[in-house]
Amino acid sequence: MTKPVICFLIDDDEDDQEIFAMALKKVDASIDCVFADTGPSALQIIQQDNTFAPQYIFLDLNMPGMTGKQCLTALRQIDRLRQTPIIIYSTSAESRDILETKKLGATDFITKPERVSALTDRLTSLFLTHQSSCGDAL
Amino acid sequence: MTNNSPSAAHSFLTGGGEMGDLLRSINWADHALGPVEQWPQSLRTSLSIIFSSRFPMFLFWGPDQICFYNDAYRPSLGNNGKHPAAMGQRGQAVWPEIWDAISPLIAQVLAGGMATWSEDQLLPIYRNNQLEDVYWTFSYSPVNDESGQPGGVFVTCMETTEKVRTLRHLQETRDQLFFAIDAANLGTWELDPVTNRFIGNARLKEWFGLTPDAEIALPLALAVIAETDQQRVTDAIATALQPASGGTYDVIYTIINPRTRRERIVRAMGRAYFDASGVAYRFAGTTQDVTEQIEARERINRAEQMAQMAVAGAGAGTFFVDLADSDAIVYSPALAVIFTGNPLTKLTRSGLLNCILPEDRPIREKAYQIAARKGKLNYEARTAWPDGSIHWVRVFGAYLYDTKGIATSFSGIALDITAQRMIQQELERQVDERTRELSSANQSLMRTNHELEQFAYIASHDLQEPLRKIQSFADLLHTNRHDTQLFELYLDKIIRSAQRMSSLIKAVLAYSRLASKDELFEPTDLNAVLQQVLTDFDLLIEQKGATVQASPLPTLVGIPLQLGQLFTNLVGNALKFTDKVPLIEITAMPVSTSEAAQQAGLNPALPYSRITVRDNGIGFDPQYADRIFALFQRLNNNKAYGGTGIGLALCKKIVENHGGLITAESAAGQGAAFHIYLPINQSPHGH
Repeated sequence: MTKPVICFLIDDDEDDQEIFAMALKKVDASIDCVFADTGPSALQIIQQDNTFAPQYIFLDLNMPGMTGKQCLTALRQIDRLRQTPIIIYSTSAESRDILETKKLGATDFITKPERVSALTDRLTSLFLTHQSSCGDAL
Repeated sequence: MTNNSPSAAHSFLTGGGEMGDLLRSINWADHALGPVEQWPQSLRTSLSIIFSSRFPMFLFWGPDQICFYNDAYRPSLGNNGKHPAAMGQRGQAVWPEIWDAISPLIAQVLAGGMATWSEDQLLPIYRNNQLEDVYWTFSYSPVNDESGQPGGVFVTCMETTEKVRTLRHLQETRDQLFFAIDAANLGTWELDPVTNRFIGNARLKEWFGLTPDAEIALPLALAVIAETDQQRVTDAIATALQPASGGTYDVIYTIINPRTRRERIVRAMGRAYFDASGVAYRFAGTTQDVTEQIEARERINRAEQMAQMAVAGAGAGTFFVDLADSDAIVYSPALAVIFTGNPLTKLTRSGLLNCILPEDRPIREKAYQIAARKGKLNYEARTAWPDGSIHWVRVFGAYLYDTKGIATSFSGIALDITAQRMIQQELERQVDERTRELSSANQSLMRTNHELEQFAYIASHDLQEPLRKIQSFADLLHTNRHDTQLFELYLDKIIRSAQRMSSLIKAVLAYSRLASKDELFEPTDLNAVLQQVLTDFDLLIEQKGATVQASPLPTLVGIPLQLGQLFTNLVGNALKFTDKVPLIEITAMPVSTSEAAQQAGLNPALPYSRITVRDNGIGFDPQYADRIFALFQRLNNNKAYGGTGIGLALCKKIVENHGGLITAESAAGQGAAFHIYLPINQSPHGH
């Protein structure tokens, strides 16, 4: 029996949470999605529950307070998340942001698309690409 | 009558002088010739002629060439030489040193040949204790004896050593003269005033276009003279030939070689010689080619004239210092003007130094130290005229050296460069000013650029964000169009995104409108402005139960519409970013000079008013106090408080448009205070 796949989205914009959830559902309805509004609250969720081990973490960059980059750095310092793919999920398409986050340990980078179909396509291919590295996912 | 007595036998020697006595003293009985009584008459007759003559004579007699000579000949034998032993001696014994030279002549004559003639012949003989070079002019002629054949050789001779020496000396002197003439590049000439024959040396002929052996015809000698000079030269010659002139001739003129057309400037110098009756019999002299000298002198004159014109034209003063003289200086009146303003000032070297401002004297000192090494002086310093005015002076100079390389004098010029300096300073000032203006314009441009970049950022992000949401939710609406609940939800989200986009576009437009400064400044009563804003917020204030406390505000020169926007944003923020019942305080204070001086960007010389808008809202982290005024900086979670991220940037722009300053202070959760410094008046040039 495989564990259920969990995606953890950290994004302050509740509209984006909704859009992401709906797109994810379209890709695979069995995938669970957990949300956090801010970096600190995401870290709190992870630290409070040792068993919480999402297969994928999606991280927004432009958030008030702790920025996505600061949050990424903090996440990569948590042992059990060291191998977990962290995918940047941002409105930014700037190469500077892409390179910088890659250096900080981001696995991939998704610029928030305008169409939901584009997001489902992007997520589908992402799960295929990172299937092996996330153990028993999917 | 025969007389056999010895005295009678010697009668042919009567009057024979010293040599006669010598002959008589000889004991001829033991001699090869035998006693005098037995001598043939031919010998006796010959000796009688010889001894009685006062011309030097000598006789070789018989096969042994026995020698006889008279008193006149005697000096040629010198002292401590052949005399007196030579008398009656064999020729070869007397003349061993020249026998090889004379014996062939003797033999030739004895053999019946012609008489010989030798002139100035060198026959070195032993006399005066040494072998001397002696020159002779002599003739050998035969003396026939009783047999009718030559029995002896009669020698008439003259020693010409002195004459030859004199001639040789003369020749050497001539050689030296010719050498000197040659070396001095001189032409020589001589005119016979009686025959008008003109002669010259090879060089003169060359100048006249003639070969060295050609004759100089007098007309040619005049024709080679340049036409403009001919009259002058003929006049000079005519004068020289008059005894009254003393015969001197010295004239410079141009000659033209008729063959090559080459022109030469020559200086002819000569002298006429007069006989007792005052008639010139000789006119001679030299001609020197002075072309180079004359041209060099002309070049020097030209250069000097040009230098003088340059110095005068530049208004320069000149000076000259003889280094042997410690303090004296030779200078032009212009120099005195440059240093003292008065052409009549009496100057010395130390006096000049005292004209230079004490603080500039080290400049001069250093320049002289360099000049001592490099020979050239160049410095600029200020002088103080007696009338108190200050003038800039530039001094150039150079040392002059003697042939041993020792500096003997110093000369130079000085220029008044005050005007030049003033122009230069003015130019520098203008360049500085322009640079400042450019720098300021550049900074303004950079600011504008930065703002434009922020605009581009918003176009790509903030404006795209609601658009993206509209599209995404439209997709979801379409997918879930049969689910009434979701349909309502997504439709609502689409409408809210559209509203947000609309307010963003309005805010951007409001901000960009501030960039154009075509709105007019006018005295504005801030109390009235604030009142209008509060009226607009009536509904919201009532909804939130907010309290607004406003103390009296000043009237200042501003743009009423912009100042209204300023209060709208600040009061709006205070009402919006709060989690309790809003309390808003608006106060105004005049700004003291010291406070204005502490705030960067304010001019302490201008009167300002500080208006403070204080609230009890959520505030902000003090570390963001600067960032909050940047475009699209949203520090708060927009889910809770909304906002476009433009409001405070708009406030900052408005305050800057008025030449003022806006700052913010807060602690998170402690409320915020915005301080606005606005000038009471606007400077005529705007900002």
